[in-house]
Amino acid sequence: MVFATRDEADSALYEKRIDLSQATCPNREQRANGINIFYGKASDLIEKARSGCLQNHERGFAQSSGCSLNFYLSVRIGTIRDAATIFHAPVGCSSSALGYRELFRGVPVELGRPAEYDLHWMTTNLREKDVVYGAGDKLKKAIYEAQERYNPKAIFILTSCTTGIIGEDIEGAVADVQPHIDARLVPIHCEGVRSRIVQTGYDAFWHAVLKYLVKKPEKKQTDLVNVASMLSYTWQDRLEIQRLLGKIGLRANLIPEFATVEQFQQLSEAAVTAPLCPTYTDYLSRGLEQEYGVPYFLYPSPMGITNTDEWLRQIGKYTGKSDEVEALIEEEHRIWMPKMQAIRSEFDRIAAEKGSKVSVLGSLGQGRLLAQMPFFDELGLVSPAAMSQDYDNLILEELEEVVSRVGDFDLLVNTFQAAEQSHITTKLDPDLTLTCPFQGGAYKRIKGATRIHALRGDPHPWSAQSGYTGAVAYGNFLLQALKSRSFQKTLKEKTKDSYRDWWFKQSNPLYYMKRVV
Amino acid sequence: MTDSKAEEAYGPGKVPEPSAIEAPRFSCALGGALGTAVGIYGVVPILHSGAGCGIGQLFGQLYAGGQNAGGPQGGPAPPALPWWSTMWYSEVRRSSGT
Repeated sequence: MVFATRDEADSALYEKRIDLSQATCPNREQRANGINIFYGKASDLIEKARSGCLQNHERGFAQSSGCSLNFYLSVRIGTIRDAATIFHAPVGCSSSALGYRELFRGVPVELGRPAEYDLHWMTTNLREKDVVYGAGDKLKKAIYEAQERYNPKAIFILTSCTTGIIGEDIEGAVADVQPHIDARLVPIHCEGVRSRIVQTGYDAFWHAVLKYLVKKPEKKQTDLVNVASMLSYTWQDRLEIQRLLGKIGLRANLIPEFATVEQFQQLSEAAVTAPLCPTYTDYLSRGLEQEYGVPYFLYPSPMGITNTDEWLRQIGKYTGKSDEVEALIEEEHRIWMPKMQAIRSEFDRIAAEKGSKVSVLGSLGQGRLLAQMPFFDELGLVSPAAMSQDYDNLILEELEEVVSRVGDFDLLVNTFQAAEQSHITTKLDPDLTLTCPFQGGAYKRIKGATRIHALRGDPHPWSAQSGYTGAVAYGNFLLQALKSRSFQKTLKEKTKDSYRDWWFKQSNPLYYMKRVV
Repeated sequence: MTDSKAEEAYGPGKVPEPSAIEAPRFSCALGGALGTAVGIYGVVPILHSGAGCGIGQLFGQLYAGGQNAGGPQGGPAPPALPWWSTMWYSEVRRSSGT
């Protein structure tokens, strides 16, 4: 393909415009050529993506991953204050919302978790009969019921595979009911079967927020910074963001967990939308700029010292606080840099002892991939390879930049495929492997193994990863994980591997890939 | 309970019986079967379902248990996740027998 301008070439890579007249967003597959299966050099992926030849393939064998509803929506939407959630689904689809207690209960009220946090969610409990005859009336009744019981400011309606397959008229039901009730209805199209890329769920949520919840700005709030983040950023990360922004007189509008409906409504009044995870915030950021002129930036995320500096500078640029930001950076460096250097020199000492740099394997979302590789570099670690849940062209340019900064690396793209991750871990045998809380498979090894991140509900300071305290905490965490191996030793001794030796002898973790031609 | 808003829409006396459930502490048949299967040492569940059905049940049932399962297959912790043959829209149209 030949393009006349850079803009033209970029728009062929992904759809930039957000069309709020539609009921929902396009899938990531259509919007940015998203894929969730790839193994090879990052440079190869870039080349394929640039030339438009990147293609998704089938898996002949796959393990449980996630869908647009149940990867993250169900457990998070319910926490939104003064709102109610209705799952228009069979009873099992809302099951993961039950995890809220384990997820958030551990956060002390003193750290900002609301003391009363009964979640208001209902399910329409679709049955066989509803699948045959439709369940529009059931949904309408549930909406009235939610209005009566909770008198919320907004009611989120989450769809499911079932409603997608029977072609339920969600928009029709919403249009019928909305005039009769006070709550704002927010239908989110997160049918699990609609997309293979779980990130479509993020976009679907933001689409609904932009379309139904965000209000026209009444007045600009020049000290308000929108910060949306994934569940994988812990409670301490929230506090760190608030601390840093608070020091220069800015307020963080943290969404979506425990945010109020009002916080969503005023997204349009903020000075800037800043990312914690760019690929998560992407749709919202673009939408807010397009509709309400709220500027945004997507890179970098505040992970690691250099990235955090740059993140703050970007915010300073949009809020007219560049001088304050420079002073803040200097002040923070004075406190945290010595600690970072101590960690770095310990890693260097271990490296000198064994004759090569400490190698680390890990990554999760696309956003984490981009942020973590430079952070590892900062700590003096090398990454022989990285794993990403999925890939789409939204991160192409930044991936190119990461490759130019830290060099080429192997990239395995898969969504929680434990066998594939176990394979690549065994094959590359890094000093330290980092696994996602749900990915499994890779723990049984003698060398270092730990988690790549905690979840939002983890309030412990050592689980932080964002900002300066997060960089130090995570650096320390990695160091401890590298040194302490008794858990791995016991596990390796006492339990069998989940897979046969045969699996580990295959040359390619994507052994079961079925090429689509 | 007075159902004024609903009555306004449906007409007096014509409001259908409520059928929605609030925050049920149970799941669907698949959830029960999966929960049982992952609890048995050495059993590998194969889900013939959508992509999120496995992880959804694990989030709901096993968060509190460190997401562990009985054996080296099942829960998403050390061992493997449930194995599935995922269905997408294309399969829904074609019917998926594989």
